[in-house]
Amino acid sequence: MEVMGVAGIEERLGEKPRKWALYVAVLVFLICLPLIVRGTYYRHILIFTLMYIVLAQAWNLIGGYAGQIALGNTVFFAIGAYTSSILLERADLTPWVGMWVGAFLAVVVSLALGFVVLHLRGHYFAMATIALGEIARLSFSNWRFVGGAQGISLPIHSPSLYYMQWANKVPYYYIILTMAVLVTLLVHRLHNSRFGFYAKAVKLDEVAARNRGINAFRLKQLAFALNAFITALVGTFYAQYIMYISPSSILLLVMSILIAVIAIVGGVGTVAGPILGAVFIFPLTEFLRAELGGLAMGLNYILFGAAAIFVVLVEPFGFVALVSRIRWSFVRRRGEVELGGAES
Amino acid sequence: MEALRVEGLTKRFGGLVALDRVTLHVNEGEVVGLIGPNGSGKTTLFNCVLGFYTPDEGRVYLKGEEITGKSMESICESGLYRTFQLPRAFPELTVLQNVLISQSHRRESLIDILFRKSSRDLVRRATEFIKFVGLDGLIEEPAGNLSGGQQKLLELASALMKDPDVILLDEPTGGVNPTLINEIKKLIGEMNESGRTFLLIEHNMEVVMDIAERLYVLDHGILLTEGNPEEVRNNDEVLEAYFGR
Repeated sequence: MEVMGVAGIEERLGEKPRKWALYVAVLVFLICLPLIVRGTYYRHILIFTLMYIVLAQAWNLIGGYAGQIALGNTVFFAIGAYTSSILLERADLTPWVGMWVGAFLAVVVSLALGFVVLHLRGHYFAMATIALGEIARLSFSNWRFVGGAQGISLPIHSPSLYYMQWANKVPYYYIILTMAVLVTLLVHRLHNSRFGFYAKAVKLDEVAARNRGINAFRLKQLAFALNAFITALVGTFYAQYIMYISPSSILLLVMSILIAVIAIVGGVGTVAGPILGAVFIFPLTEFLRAELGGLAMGLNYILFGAAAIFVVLVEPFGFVALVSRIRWSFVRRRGEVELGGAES
Repeated sequence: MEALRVEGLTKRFGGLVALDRVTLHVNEGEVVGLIGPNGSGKTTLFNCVLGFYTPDEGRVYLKGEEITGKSMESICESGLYRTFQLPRAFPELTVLQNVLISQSHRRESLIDILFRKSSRDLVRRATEFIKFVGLDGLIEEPAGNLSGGQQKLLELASALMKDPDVILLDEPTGGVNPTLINEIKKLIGEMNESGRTFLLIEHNMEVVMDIAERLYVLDHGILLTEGNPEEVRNNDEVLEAYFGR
């Protein structure tokens, strides 16, 4: 009897239609989730988990694909949040427009900053982006126009689509869910386009990539700008959801690190990695903060760090590789069972 | 007609003169060898020509157009392709993607990069080149799973994909088993017959004497001599450089 390879087994199992069926089922489940999850706190965790999915997907473009460990993403997050908030507060401009203005500004800033920092490599790039985050925090804290250290409280309006303000969390959930789906589809498209393997080539060996004619700097700028664009859009969403922004609440290094850790633990350079990372890490950090935050200062971060290190030690390529390993062993076992059946 | 011309190239690293006013040329359709003992400056010359190092003095011309000081990627797109002494394939990318990376990037727009896959024609061409070097069974395999010799073949396929005016090969048979050496020799011969121009660094004298029409000999950054393989073989200065007085 002819021995069937894994590829053959996959074909027989009708992998592609099943995959799409699974995606649709997950989407339907997510759409229905607010009907099941009714508590305000749990809905808040859902919203933040989705928000971190989008932020980690954006970071994945520069960190996972282009290999530049950016640790200053809060700069773009703040640009998005502050721009739309100031436009709303002072010009009564709807955040639906303000978010695009913020995203555009973030792209301009990312191109200017990228012109300097994207020439740096490895740890030097990471350190430079940490410095940018800190410079932004100090600058915003001392800049009256943006409310200084006190920040900005958004004007409260009656619930309306125009002001992106509602009395309950469900509309926010659907907005961030839509963003997560759209950004994931965009990253999926980028993953399968030339960008996907060009950026990976630059990450693996920049000299060899340039030797093949790839303009590595332009590619990194592109990834940095896309990352800034998406992160700024989420910044607006955050401002509208929390209704208050200040340098000490959104320009935090720990937030930049959390975004990167989510993508790394999930699996860099993959579409599913940031999703798996956020689903595991954000609820865990929230749980640790709620349960242990009062016991000792920073204890939740120590345990969160230990959990992240454990995951990376068990599977250096993140959750995606772990899931893929489990999936293949299941497919193989199923193939063996089918072959056994055919032989008998 | 001259495909590549290097004129008075000098490169210093502090007090060390790695290249001292080196002048050489490669005619269209030629296979020219660059030999010399270890540390004679051969790879430094490649690095200066390809834009990895900026030369302190001298100029480089590709088909009459000066390329000195240009970036690596623009030199590559101008028509100069280089393979490395130790193959530098991208291990996580497939064999096909490794070859597709070398497609022309000249007219590639941002939209092409962001949203488009490589065209069917390009994939077909890449597949042909992969077949040509004998890696067709491994087309979807990550390049990291290939042996060192297979990665050298992959570099040749990548070079073909770029369709350059001149291909610079840095020790194409270094660290490769004898069977594969013959295969690589045959492939270079066939590529040359189809009009490709080569400048190659090679330590395997049998190979370089066999495939090169002309040779340049470098020693301590100085061009010792040039000539056909027979002349170089009988040159006393060359023998002295390799074996000492």
